[in-house]
Amino acid sequence: MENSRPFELPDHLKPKFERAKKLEWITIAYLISVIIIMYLVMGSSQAMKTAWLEDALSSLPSIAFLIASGIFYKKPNAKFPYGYHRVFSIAFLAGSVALFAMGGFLLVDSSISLIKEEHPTIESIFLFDRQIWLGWLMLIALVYSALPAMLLGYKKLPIAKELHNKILFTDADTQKADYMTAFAAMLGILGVGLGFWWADALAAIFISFSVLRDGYKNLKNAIKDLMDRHPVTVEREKKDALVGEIENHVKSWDWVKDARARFREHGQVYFGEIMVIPQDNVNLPNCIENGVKNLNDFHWKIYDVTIMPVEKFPET
Amino acid sequence: MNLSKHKPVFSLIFSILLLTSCNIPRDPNKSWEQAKNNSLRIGIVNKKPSALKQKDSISLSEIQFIRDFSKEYNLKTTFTEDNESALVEKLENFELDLVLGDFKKNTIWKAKAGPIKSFDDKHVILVAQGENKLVYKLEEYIHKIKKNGEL
Repeated sequence: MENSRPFELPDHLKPKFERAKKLEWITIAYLISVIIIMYLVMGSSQAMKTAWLEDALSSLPSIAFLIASGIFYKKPNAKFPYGYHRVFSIAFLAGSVALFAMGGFLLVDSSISLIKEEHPTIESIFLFDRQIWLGWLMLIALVYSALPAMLLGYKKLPIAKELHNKILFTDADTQKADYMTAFAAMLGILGVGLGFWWADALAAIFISFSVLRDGYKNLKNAIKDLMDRHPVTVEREKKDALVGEIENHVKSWDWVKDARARFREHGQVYFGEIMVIPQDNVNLPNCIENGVKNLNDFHWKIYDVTIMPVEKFPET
Repeated sequence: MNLSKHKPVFSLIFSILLLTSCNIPRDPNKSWEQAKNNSLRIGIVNKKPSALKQKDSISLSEIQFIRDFSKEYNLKTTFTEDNESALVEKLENFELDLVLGDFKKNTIWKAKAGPIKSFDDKHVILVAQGENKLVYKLEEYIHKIKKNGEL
């Protein structure tokens, strides 16, 4: 038994989804350019190395989103009777594990660099016959790695909320705050230029902490989603009021005495069951069939719902 | 898009850049100042006798290069000859300013000293880690002689 409906976003969200995809493609192209530029000017600075890896890692959510967006809408089939919506949750988990692990590695690496008192030596290069201290180019590269990222983050944020898409939200939210890591790296480079060798390692440690914190936050969320917690809003992680609204909606049907609903998130959409205590003498199969149809049109997030008649609710 | 809440951070970055830009890169361990006031302390790795016999040994041209560099900037020079590890240790303790000795790009001393590109692009000169001003001046000179085709 499977839901025979292929998933379709409601008409008003379709262009938003297309726009999100476009923005993610732009993000990837932009990040590739950032990764190349940062690599070229990285030198022996630990802060630059850490910021560079952070930028490389920040392409993961975009890639995950684009891969998942080519899969999630497929129609459920005998092999995958619940459809492919969880692909977003899996991509989210994979991305957060990578972020968390890399944050840990960077923290250890940067701390070793501080403990071993590694003094970075920043060379200079010649551009158009002018000697330029590489640190200046690093600062320019860091500005380039931060400002467009911020802009993209701000553009993606409202779309992510509307689409109830956590990867997109995480991506936008991290990018929006990316300037803090770039700023830390800039202070590190300037510190080295001013003769404070420890500024570099200290900046790297700060950036590692920010990667680790993002990784931990996302990992916690990804695991909670896969544990089928009550659906939450993408932004504040508050219980989504939609579940209560559905319950009240079902209670308002004239063939229903009482109802209880529970839902879980499968990527962007919700799956769930509603237990109902029916009124006496009703044509139950017919009522349930109509009820499911009615709920499918209730909200686009409600994708797969089962109505189960009971005499009384199980004790909780 | 609301960027106004980030204004303080941007202003801070901008002011730091403005305040510091004239004095960067500095001379954190005063190698450059020391070289100018006293002398440029150069370590030279003593080679096996067979290597020394080679007429056009790179060490010789490296030494000549550093003599020319010192002349250009009116620096006195002091040479110390020893084995690699002893010289690198002195470099780490800022008892030397640079070490010459046929070091290649991926030298094992990379972790303890700051290798900078030499005048022939194959060899590197070891300088004390973190030192920026001396490196800056050396690179300036290397560029100049390369441009003038003096090598």
